[in-house]
Amino acid sequence: MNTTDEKNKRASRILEAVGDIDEKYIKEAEVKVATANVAAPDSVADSASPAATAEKNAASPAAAAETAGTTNSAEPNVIKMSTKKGIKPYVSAAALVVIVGALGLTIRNMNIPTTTAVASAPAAAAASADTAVAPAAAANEVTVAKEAAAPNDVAVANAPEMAAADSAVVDNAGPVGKAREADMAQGAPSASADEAVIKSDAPNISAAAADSEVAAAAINPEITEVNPDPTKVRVGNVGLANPFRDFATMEEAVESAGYEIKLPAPVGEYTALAYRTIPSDLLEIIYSTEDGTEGYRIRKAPGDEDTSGDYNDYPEEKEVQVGDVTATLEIKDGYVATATWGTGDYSYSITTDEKKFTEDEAIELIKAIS
Amino acid sequence: MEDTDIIDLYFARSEKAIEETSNKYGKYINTVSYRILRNESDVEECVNDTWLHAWKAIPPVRPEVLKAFLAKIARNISLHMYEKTHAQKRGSGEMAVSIEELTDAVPSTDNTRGIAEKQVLADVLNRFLEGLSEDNRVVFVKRYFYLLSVKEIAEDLGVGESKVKMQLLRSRNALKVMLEQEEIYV
Repeated sequence: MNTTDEKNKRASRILEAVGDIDEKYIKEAEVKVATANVAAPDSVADSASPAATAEKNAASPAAAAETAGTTNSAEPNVIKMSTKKGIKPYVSAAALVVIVGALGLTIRNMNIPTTTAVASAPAAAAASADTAVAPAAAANEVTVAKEAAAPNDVAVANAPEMAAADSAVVDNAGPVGKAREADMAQGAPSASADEAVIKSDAPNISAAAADSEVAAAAINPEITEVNPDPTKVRVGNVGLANPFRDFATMEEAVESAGYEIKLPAPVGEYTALAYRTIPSDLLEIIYSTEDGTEGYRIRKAPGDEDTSGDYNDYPEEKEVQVGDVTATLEIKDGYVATATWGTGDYSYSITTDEKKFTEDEAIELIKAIS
Repeated sequence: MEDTDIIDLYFARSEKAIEETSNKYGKYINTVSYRILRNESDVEECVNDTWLHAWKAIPPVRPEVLKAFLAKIARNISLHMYEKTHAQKRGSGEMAVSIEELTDAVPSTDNTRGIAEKQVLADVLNRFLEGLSEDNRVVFVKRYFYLLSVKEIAEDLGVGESKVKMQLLRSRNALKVMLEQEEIYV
């Protein structure tokens, strides 16, 4: 390795270590939230600007219905995370042109007035006009278009259904969903990712558009998948299952994880009351008192990454040798807050809550688990 | 919603914790990640990963400053993604520029003592930052934690770019001196 590479590598270590500086300095220098060039997360509502939200909703009843459905959802065991894949705006815009053209062509062949055809894709119209008033205006006409169009022929966005719908919606419904990105490319605020998302009750692309490479690129099958259970679909978001699974017994958890763990004897008044896994990824045992006060938890996971999930900085860190294992102890106020180590193909961690472990106690636990 | 209430939701294993975190800090974390990656789809993936990491970390961890805690996670994830996606084209982007700048701070200490542990280095950095004036510290953290460009920092603080460059240069030199004095090898 030459000197420059070596220096860069060492500088990289400094840069990486800057990520572990005290949080007070991070907060002190916090950056302003970018309003341009940065796509707002789909699930982020502009809570600081209710007026803007109201305006958006007024202009887009479909989006309003979706937004309400998204934010008010109380579905259990679902963490909402966007899985929308970013697609370059110009690709989306090009796809829109193709799709709107195909839409018009198909509907003209069916003797449906062109104006109706355009109206039937309100978000697309909104995008091309750089305005967001099309959906409301088009609402009644769209039904006609929907009835006329063959379901498998053209992706006809159905605004009335959308506005009324509190279920059965499609995540980022292909071409129309991309209208938002086209808007953003034209300098529109990126305040809401839900703004131009619209439902399509037919495949999202016409036969003509399917021939277009651009259109195909713009329509990601991953994001146009319809959830068979309409009550679990999110607009602009995808319902992602809670990664953790809880089990009543250790045996069940081990079966889910796909590997075993040696458990130490419970410490103090804490007993193993919860067994959880992220299947094939993490096995976790939580020790609590009978009244539910958590004492500590033990984790095991394949690989050599830190499994503790603890990103806090602790005043003291030290390595201890426990048999063949080198464990890292992070210490606060004289007690071990986190212990992490690896052996074989697995990494382990002990993280504490109410239970205060001395170093000796932590080492005994590590011995018992390893 | 207050941070303590959000953290309580995590401890209660309520999925609303993610939603509230996203509502309150989504744009901020998006910004942190975007400064590093400059690619919307990568950023989105990192932001989602940040929520997942937070969900896995809390509990048992109870962050003292939730916003900074999330920013750290997002930064780490984004750096890793940057390294992964730029493995074949090193030398581009703000991160590469930052690394090049930080070679100024690389001490000439020999490596007979072995490479310093990350936490040891972070401890030194914390003491180093403590010793800086607030102005210089903010500039340093904006540049090397948030990876803002010199121009962005200058605009953000309403000062000239040359001033920011000078502050950074002095800080890097001071860091180098400190690392050498403490015989820290990186």
